[in-house]
Amino acid sequence: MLNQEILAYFGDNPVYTFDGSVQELKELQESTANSYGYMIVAGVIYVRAENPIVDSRAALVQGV
Amino acid sequence: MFELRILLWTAEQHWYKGFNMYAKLVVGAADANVYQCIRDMCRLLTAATPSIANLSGQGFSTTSSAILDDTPAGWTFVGSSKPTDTPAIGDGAADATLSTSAYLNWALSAPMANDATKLKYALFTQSFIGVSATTPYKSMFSLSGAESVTSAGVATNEGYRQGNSATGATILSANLHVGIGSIIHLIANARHITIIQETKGMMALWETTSTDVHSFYGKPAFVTYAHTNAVAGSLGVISTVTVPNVGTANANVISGVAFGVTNPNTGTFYGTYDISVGATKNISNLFQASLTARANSVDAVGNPKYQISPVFLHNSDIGYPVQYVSGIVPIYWCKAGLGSTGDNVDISGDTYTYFNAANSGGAFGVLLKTS
Repeated sequence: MLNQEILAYFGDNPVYTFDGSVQELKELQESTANSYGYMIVAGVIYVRAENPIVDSRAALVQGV
Repeated sequence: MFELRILLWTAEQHWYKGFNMYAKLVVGAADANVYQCIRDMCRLLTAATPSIANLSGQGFSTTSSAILDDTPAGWTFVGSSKPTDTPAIGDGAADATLSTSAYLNWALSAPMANDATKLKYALFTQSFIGVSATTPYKSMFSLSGAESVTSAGVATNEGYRQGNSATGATILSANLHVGIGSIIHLIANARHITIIQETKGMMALWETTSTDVHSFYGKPAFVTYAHTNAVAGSLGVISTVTVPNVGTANANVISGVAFGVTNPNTGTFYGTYDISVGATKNISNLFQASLTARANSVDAVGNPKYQISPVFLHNSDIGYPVQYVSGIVPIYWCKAGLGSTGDNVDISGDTYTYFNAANSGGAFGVLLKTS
């Protein structure tokens, strides 16, 4: 269950957590040509991407 | 020429009397091809010597447009999600078929004044997506910002693209557009890109004063701002912000974003931070939506005076001090209808140009030092 701060940020968009560093997220983004926006709350990276993220480090927490 | 006295601004002034590239771009006798217009603008913004020769002739009119100040804007072309436009802006034949399945973008960067190793990124995005082939809606674009963009147009933490709805029979028009009759004022230097469309509104990317928080986290201080109004008639009468990146639809046509900000109290990092007027978190003068904003005033002996206001923002609830746009960018707000677009205005000895950015609704005026 995402907290209010994260829900307010992402709205109804699909949200993933990413188990890695920001640099790794960036490398994944560039290698898959997938633009994204992210926020970090309590050390956890939450990501919204233009296209679905398919990676073992990404876990869908909200949305389709 | 008339003189404005600055009222009600007692904050510390940061005067950077910079020069701008200023192009007045006019659409010819038919709706322009938005791809070519974006290319035209990107060439102008990245040219060593901006000139009419930067216009391909397939976008803005080369006979009606004018370069009013050819000071180089100082932006660098980063790339595009359109394969033919990266690593260099394409010069090919007009792209007659606009994509209806993907937003195509063109990215630029420019260094920060306080740290040339830090870049701010601007994105032009062709905004028409939808099933309708109605001509006016194929000529729309938006300006957004991002923390970074690759040469393939892949953006990290892109802010709002204020624009039109992606679906439905009713097209919502909060973009800027290059339809027939459009006049676009493109004013830029390395601190900003400000685009004002007469009677429609504006979109801008502005560097701001930096703060200790920015220094602590090593982040560049810049924001984007968009304020557009519906234009009655064939170009649409509904104005709604759609935000393809962050995914929040607002009920007004004003949006603003800060980039890569961290709340030092909680450690929460916001790739993009909404500073729109609908949020209570930002106490600022960044937005002016009221028709009565900046009403006329008087001096101590009753002489009439106009009011102008600096542009600034204050993300106070996440621990950021006030950030000024005015002073870094030679811009002020004033009331709508102060004059006609192009009028010269003297502010304390400096000559500014008045722009009428909207004609009704959230009408406002913009003063920019263009040369």
